[in-house]
Amino acid sequence: MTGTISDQEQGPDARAEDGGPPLTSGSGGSSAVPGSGGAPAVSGPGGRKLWIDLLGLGSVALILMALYGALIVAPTEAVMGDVQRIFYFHMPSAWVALGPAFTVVFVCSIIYLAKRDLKFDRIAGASAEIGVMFTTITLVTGPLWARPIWGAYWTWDPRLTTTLVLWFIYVAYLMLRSSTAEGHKRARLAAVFGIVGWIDVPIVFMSIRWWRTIHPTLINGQGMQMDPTMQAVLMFSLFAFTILYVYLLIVRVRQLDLGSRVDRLRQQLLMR
Amino acid sequence: MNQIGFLFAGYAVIWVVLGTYFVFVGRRQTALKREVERLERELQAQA
Amino acid sequence: MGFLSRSWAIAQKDIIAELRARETVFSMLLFGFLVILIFNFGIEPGLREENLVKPGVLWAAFIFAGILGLNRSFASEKENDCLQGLLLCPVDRAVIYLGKLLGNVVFTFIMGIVVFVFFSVLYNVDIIATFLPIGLILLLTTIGFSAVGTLFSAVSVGIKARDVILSILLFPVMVPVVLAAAKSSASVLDGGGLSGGGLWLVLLVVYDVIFLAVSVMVFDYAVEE
Repeated sequence: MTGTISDQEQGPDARAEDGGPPLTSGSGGSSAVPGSGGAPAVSGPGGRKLWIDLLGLGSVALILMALYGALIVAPTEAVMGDVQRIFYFHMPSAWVALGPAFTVVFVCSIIYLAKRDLKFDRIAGASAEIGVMFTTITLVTGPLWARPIWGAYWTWDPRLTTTLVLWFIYVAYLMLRSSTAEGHKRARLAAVFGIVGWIDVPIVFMSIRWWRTIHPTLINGQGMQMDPTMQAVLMFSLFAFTILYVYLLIVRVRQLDLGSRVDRLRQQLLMR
Repeated sequence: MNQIGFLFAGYAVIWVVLGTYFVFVGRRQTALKREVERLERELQAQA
Repeated sequence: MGFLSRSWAIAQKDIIAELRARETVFSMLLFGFLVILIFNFGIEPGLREENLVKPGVLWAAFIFAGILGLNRSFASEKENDCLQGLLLCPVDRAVIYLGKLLGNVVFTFIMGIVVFVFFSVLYNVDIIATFLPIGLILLLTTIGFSAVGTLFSAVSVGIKARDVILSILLFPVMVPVVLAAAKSSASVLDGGGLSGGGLWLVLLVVYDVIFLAVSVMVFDYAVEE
């Protein structure tokens, strides 16, 4: 049995192979991975999908390389000094959250409402989790950067303030999900909020930016001079973070698929 | 805290947050695997 | 019966029920007054800087009281299983949304007006001069607030921790509305009229249009059975 396993039915032989982080051991056997981008059904030792583990190792390697770039390769910023180096991880975190992560939530919400396939609900949920995680990173590294440079942890900078509202929106999304049992009702309600929340974000950004340009800023944020090396390091870091996001998403979605399968097995057991 | 202190704190936070997520996913994975094995054993026993 | 008249029929039902029971609007009003009062004790009256906090107090009170009203509007439907009955009517779901929306707008707007009167007494605001501009801002804010609020209360009606979830869902999405309301009313309350606040009114209108459209489109999915 191959092809996309939706939550309408599933045969007893189809196993959802998992590609968890390299520390867990898997059971034997292999089969086509449902909907994970058409990768070949190759199993590594212990039955895990090899390509996922490779992706994981690759993304960790990329992150380490980005770290090297941020700390060693990039020149020290003229005005801000070495503290500025956090920017090479701070900005990509923000970008991954706002860009791919929450947009995937929006798109999967729409697709779920159209197709009623719970797989998309799971993708949306996983993407929101990862997005909130990266948003948290952005919100903590931002003040840690601002404090030594501008003397205050929080400067009501429009981008960071929007990120804060973003954090609240998607934490609300996750709370909505955790307040109902898994299933179509939860997926439907979450999808509604997922759509409205995402549309709100640009409006929030515009309104906060208007607010901050009309009123004198608390602290004059000095722009950064970015020379080509710094730009290259930043681009690379963006790439590394995007790959990391993709890896985390795939791993978490497969885990949620497995969880769904567990529920189905339990039901089967109960019905005998 | 001097400049490097804040820089270190920033990166430390990133590793801690990412690490926590990895741990969370990893543990859930182990639990799920155990559960799947148990359920399949029971289903087979009943069959 | 036309589309609008059907919606109005639903709104009328809510309004008449409220006129008889009177519990929702009174609670909203009382809560709004209390919030203003409590803020008052946190702020020294007669401060020079009082002008800076006035808009914040007014709109915070409005939002908190408004959420209270939203909570109750769908709650009564759920209690008496009226929601089922409504959904059984052979009407477009959008009609139901609009009906509930109209009801909420009426209640919330009335609450807003009365809360503003109370506020203007406590904070020595010239009611005659500010009534129209504030009324306009209030109307636009109420529409935006109720548009999203009605949708979200439909979403949260099926959840155990209904009231809390509604607040958690609604507050972040309301940020542009609160910002626009506070900023546009700031100069009005200072005695300066709507000068400079025009941009914020535009934002409110844009927000209202976008979220009315989105909510109408998405409401079906929120109330499916």
